[in-house]
Amino acid sequence: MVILEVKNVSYGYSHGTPFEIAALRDVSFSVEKGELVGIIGHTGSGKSTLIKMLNSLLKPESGQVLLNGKDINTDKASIKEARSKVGLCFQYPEYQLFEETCAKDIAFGPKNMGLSEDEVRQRVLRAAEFVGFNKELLNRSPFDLSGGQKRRCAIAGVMAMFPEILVLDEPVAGLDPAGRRELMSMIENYRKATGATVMIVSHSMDDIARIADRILVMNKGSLAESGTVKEIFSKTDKLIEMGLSVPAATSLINKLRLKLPELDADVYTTEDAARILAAFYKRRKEQ
Amino acid sequence: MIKDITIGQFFPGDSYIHKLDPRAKIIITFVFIVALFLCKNYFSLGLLFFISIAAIVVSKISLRVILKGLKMIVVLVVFTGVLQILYNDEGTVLWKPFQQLDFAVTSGGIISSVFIIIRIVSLILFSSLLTYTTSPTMLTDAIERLLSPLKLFKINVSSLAMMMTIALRFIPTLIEEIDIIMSAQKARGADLETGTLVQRAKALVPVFIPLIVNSFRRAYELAFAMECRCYTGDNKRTRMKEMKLALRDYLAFAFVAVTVAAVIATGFFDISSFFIFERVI
Ligand SMILES: Nc1ncnc2c1ncn2[C@@H]1O[C@H](COP(=O)(O)OP(=O)(O)OP(=O)(O)O)[C@@H](O)[C@H]1O
Ligand SMILES: [Mg+2]
Repeated sequence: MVILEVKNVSYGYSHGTPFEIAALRDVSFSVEKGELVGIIGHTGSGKSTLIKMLNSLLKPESGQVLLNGKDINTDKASIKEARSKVGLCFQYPEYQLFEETCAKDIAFGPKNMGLSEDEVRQRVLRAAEFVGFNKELLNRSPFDLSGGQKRRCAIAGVMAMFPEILVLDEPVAGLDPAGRRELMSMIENYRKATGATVMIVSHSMDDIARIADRILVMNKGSLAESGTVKEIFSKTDKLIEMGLSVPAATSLINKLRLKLPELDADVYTTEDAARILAAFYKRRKEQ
Repeated sequence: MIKDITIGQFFPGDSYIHKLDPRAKIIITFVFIVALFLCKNYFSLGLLFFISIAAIVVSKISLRVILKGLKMIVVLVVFTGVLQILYNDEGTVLWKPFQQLDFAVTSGGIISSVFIIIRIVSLILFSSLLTYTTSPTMLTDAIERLLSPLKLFKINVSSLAMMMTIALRFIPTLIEEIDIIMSAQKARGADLETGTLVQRAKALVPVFIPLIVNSFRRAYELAFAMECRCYTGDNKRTRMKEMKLALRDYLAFAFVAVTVAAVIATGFFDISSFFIFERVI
């Protein structure tokens, strides 16, 4: 079932000044319920602009955004509905924390939705659990946390609204490898537990290849490609042309295949690469 | 949207006005503003208004930008215009809406109200033209030079100028940041646009706390970065770009001198008889 549909959306910044720029040009795609969509694209390709369209923070200059078949920009009520159903977590969300304690900050979203105090408390606890926050952390001031903890607190603030679609703009940017893996698996856990649709913007081809069901490729404000992990990452040259790349594992296997054409080509994650190479060595030994 | 503020913005270009020495531009703008207040009749005011329009045409700044800048002061202009009409009861009565009240729209009121409006608009045009055509760094550099006589009084002019540069530099950054934070809180369902005044003021707390926290963080980082590059704030730094007045600057000065002379002269001679109305202000 299609939950979100973006139809011919265009948007530009700074009209009427010399800095005018077309950030989105005629972008169309749709998202199935429960899908995990990865969005990749070169810096400035319009990814962040695109996701701001999804809950009406920016309104398309032309085109429509349909949530469950209804245009989200119809009136105030539809905008409000979109804000609670599409949870948006921005690039570097830790700079938006403001409350005295993490618990209060996480509660900000659910409170704005007008839920009862009991419900709010429960949601805060559940969201905190997803990001691995214990009672002690919940009662700390968000300003005293480490960078990674702040990031998780901010993401919990969006998760606590339990949106039907969770949209994350570069959630793991600037984290250490362990922190990245941890946060990624927290997002996957959230998705498994709630069945929510998730959209992730990322510059890490490896992360996207590992978790995405489908990938959207943005290039200079247009949607350049859309397809499964295999469909997107088999077009190495095209991606490199757009300032992107393929996952490290794919790149390795591609290089090996120049010498060893019998290797399997469809490799996109490190685990796959390890498996294929192990199998290859076994065959070699047996011969 | 908050981003639409154009006053104080810089629009790069290579017109005659862009190329003028920033010190000359500051002085000329200042002189014109003073001259605007010396105007006593429509002749001199009209002259200055015409010059401001001509300067905009020469600068090739788009009309849309200018109008956007003026949009910001519409309320101020209308307010002062109405006040003038209310308080001036010279000339013939044109309209007396309330018989009981001692209030009437008079020809004198309208004439002086239009006068004031043109004066404010020209004021804005001159001053915004300065910022539209001069980059913030040039501007503060020039201010530093112009203020350098203050060194005699042991005032650290270069620190002042540095503070000004930093402040100017961070205005767009702050505006952008307010935008981001507002978006983020709106995405969490914050309602910043409706409600009573008190409710709206309260709704801004989630925007301003992160803004202030971030500003402090940025101030620290900037201070460290400046110290790492050996900034000490003394007066002995030399410049990468030396400013030098060129022929075009002297031409501009000469032009301004003639204009101001004309403005002052028309104030002495009673030329108002050319223009039906007696002393307008
Ligand atoms: N508030 C704004 N005002 C003016 N221009 C903007 C604004 N935000 C973005 N842009 C411009 O719009 C284009 C798209 O920006 P956007 O932030 O959507 O890119 P992005 O794909 O998210 O990049 P990144 O990967 O660096 O986050 C860029 O060229 C950018 O300079
Ligand atoms: Mg971005």
